[in-house]
Amino acid sequence: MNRIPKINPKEADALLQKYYEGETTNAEEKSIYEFLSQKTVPERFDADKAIFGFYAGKRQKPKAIHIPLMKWASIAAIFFGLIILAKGFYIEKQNDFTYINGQKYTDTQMVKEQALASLDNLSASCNEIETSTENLQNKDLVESQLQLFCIE
Amino acid sequence: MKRNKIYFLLLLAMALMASPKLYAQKDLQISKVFEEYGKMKGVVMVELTDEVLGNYNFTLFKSITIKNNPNASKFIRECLKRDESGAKKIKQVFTNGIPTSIYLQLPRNGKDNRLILFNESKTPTNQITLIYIETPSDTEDVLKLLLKKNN
Repeated sequence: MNRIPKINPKEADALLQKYYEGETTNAEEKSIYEFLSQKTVPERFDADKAIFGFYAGKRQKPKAIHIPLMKWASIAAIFFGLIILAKGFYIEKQNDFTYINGQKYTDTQMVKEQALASLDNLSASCNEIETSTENLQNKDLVESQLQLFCIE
Repeated sequence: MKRNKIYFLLLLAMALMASPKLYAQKDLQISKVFEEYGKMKGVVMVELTDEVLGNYNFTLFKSITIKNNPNASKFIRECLKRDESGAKKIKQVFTNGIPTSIYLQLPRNGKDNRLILFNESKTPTNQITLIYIETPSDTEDVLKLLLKKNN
């Protein structure tokens, strides 16, 4: 690591002049910072200190934003959770289908119609059963059928 | 400790990935009927999730209608026999000693009631209808609505 060369007030004056003209190098600017951050700096440098941010005290280094691993994991989990939920919803909606003679159809209206048709098949058969049961309860019918077995 | 939490979150994400609805009927023998015959000619298979059909609210609705296939009839009846264990028989109708309609109520899957409805009619053509339902509604209400449908 390169050491920052210490400068005296006279050199500081020259470098500051260069700085305001925009001609300083990084190393020279670091030397100015080093010089202005000293406790005993002549009063004539107060304006420069203000410009460089040293007036109110020591210049603060920018803090690195540190996000803990757990927070990252939580963010990632929430993100993936949302993706999975969205995907799950999409997949489930894609699962609405009907196969007719081996041909797949995903049109929701058509699928619903086929579903209702299958329910119709069942309810139609239920009605048949109910009708036949009603017939069995019909006294006249039972009597007429018993007549067949009567020996005259 | 941190690592455990991360593993927990990963497991949670994996659990979310596996949608229970899609696998709910896989424990039943009748799931084989849908797999075996669903894509054949002369067959209509339907699968719906989270839909309202008429007045019915279904979490999952699967049906298969098979025409003129005696082998399918035999296979379905065998599957139903196995699924009957642990199920409550709601209704069974016999014609000439053979059950032509079987309604089964299976143990609940979470908050959903599960039903298997089977019917085989011989006239005008031989037609088998098998329906698997998962519904948050009361099974009796669903059946009442179903039976009244054509009245």
